[in-house]
Amino acid sequence: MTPVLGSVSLSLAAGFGILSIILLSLYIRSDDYRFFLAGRRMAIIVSVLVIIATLVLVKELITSNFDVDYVAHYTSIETPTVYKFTALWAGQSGSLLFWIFILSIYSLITIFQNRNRYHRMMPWVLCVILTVQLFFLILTNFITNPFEPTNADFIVANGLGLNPLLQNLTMAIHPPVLYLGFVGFTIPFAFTVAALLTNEKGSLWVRSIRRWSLVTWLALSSGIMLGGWWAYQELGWGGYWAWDPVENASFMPWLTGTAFLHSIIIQEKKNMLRIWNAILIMLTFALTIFGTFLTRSGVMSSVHSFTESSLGPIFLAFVAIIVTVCAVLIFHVLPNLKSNKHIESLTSRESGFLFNNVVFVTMCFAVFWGTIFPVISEAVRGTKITVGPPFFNQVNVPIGLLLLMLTGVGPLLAWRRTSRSNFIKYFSIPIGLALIAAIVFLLSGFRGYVVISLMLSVFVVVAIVTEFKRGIQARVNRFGESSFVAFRTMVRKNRSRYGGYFVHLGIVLMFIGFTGQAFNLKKEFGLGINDREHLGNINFELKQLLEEERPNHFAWISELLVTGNDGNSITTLRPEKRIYFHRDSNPDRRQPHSELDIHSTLKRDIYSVFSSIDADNDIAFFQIMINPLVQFVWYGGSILVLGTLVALWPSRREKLLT
Amino acid sequence: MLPKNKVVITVTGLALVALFWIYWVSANPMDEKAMVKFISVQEVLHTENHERVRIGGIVADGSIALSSTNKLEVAFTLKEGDSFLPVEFIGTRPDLFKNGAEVIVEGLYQEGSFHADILQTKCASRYEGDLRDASSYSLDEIEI
Amino acid sequence: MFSFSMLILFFLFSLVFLYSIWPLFKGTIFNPSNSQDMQDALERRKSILYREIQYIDAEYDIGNLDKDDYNLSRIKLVQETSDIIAEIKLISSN
Repeated sequence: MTPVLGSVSLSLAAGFGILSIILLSLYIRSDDYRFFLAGRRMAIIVSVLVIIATLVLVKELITSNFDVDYVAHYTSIETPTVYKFTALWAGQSGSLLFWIFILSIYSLITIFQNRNRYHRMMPWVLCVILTVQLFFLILTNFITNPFEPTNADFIVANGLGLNPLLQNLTMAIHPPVLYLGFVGFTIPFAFTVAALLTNEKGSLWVRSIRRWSLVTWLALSSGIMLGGWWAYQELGWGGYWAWDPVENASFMPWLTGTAFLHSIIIQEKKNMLRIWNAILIMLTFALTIFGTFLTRSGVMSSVHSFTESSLGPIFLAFVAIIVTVCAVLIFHVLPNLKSNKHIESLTSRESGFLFNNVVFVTMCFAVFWGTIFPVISEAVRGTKITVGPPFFNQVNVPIGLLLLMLTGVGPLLAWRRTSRSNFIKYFSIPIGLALIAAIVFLLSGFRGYVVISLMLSVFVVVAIVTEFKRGIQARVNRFGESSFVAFRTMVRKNRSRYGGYFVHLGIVLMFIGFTGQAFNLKKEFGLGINDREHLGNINFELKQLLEEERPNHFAWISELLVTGNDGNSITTLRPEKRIYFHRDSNPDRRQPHSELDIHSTLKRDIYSVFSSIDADNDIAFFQIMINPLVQFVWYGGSILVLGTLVALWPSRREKLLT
Repeated sequence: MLPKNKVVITVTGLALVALFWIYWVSANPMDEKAMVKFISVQEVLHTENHERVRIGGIVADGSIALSSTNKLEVAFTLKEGDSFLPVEFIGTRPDLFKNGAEVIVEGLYQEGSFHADILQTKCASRYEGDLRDASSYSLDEIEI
Repeated sequence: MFSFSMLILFFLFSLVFLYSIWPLFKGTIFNPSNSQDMQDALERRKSILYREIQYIDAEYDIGNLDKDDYNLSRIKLVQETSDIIAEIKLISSN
């Protein structure tokens, strides 16, 4: 019975959605408040119905109702309960339902937060949100319905189950965290469109969406990093980023979203860059829809062409409509958007933010270009040309380094223009120390981008420390506080700014981690018992090879003694080769799985994969990698998250404001 | 010059430099692996060129043969429609590599067989949907 | 095919539908948008102005703001704040 409740909820949601848009439009035309109240109530009902439908699907998953095709496809009786739950976003129709689920929650929060204000903007805001909800409702009602009954002539006793590769905690939470970020940009987008259409002057609404955008950005950043972490820990190829279309799909909105976050500071403080901000948020939103399309339609990564369902073209059409409508809207309100203030100097903080925007958008375009290039080359020349990591790295490293530099330069610039004396006063120490660092690195034998990257890292760290010092000094001078009290008060009174500096510190650490990749080493070899091999100045000796039969798999366990050239023992690595479903009579159903072992220190990761085994001769084959500085990426990422939390932490005044 | 024009010109200039840079990298990739043609088995069998290519297909049932001495060495037959291509690969095979798996190989076709240095698998049919994300990551890149 | 649960569902659906269109039957409702939005906006603008003044004070101390810019901006902000306070007083006394 309950699956029917689920599909009925989805259909009703679509119906109410259309009605709601009609009522809200009537309010906009007639100014009759009753229409707004009714329309808003219906909008609430739409979201509630979606939430109900999602809860129904969760129930079917957890109770293993295999009459529902989605349940039969993605779970089995043996699947642990937590993964029965996470199967909600494992498949196409479930994840689309999950998209609207999150949007519905965001919608309810937005309606509640703004129940007594922005009466002119809210109908437009709701219409935009409802339109997006409707789009996904059309998809889940008519094209990929999660409540589709199982198509079988027999009673399905057990489902197909979830792949062991996906049965780990990181992979379980990576999609929802990512979605919280992706979907979240719909709200600032809706407000921006509403503000443009109602010609809302003033920066009040910008401040509200700044917080919302920051939360969304945090979720997106975390989601991306979780994906990288999972890839590194689980997949066994030794890297955390492959410039894969699905990865790029999440990275592009992150780039424009980050630019937007920075740029609206200028709009708030100086009421400038309004056109940029409108374009940036529209791009970000369009890219989230495009990203969902890239991930869910499989069009880029598919070996063959488009998948069976018509999902792809519909998504593309929606993106095209969004882009067109936004472009028309911008042209329409352009005269109102143009600021009467201008950037007065290229050495001003304002222009720093402007350059920031340009660089971020450039990187986004570069990634976009590389991602769709195969499709374009096939359309234009008839041959599909795939674009690999070397292209993305070659094109993006200089742009990334430019961004790193701006991270340090930006905060040091003054408003309107930086005087010559100020320039010397604030830039000389960071530049000086950076140059000294560069000389040191060059003398140590490093070259090229590595030197530039490390030099800029030093520059940015010194710049950030300088900024903290300046702030503390100012308070000490004016209020006579001790340095420690000044520091605490300063951060508390301006969490956005100092939280932001912590985030930048995190970014610098990540860049240092990225630089380590230039020194990655990799080797593959076979070892018999007591055989030795080396990589770099690390030695590997196979001490033992064991076999173990476990509840749901069979395992070969190797024991590798890892020593340095000086003979000192570094660690013992125990990578495993497992076979799941090993008792299955059909050998093609047995699923091998390499369980990696990583010895991780700040200086480097020693990464071992048990590739293959020659069981007759007791020879184990390994893939070993030495990846320097990887931990910097994870630590940097954690500091990024902490810094954002500092920036987001509500102060007493802020609570009154929002 | 008015400051406003100066800013517009600088930004436009930057944008043009950026576009040119992206175009330039596309046309002059430093690494041969940056941009690789994706062709069919038929095409690779009938053309004489020895450039690096990428091919997709299915592992023909029963065609997987591991070397007896080096278990990292594998030979198999790639099937695309009615065309067959013998492939050799040395390196760590993806976990999903087995009979009937959808694979992508990258390398050079020489002397009757395809020498791959990249072997990737797509999700096997049993776990079709759930690997939609993971499949793009099933990368194993090895240098010979 | 009329099961009991379908009846309940239909009943609930009707209730929900009625609830949502109820405002349409209530006779003209005073549109709060104009006056309430105005007062609300003024209050929030005032809070923002207080923060802005604090902000430029801090920026000047740090050295990011030139002395003349600082003085000019501060005078403008303080002026705007007192204007708004006056306006709020006017509206609330009405």
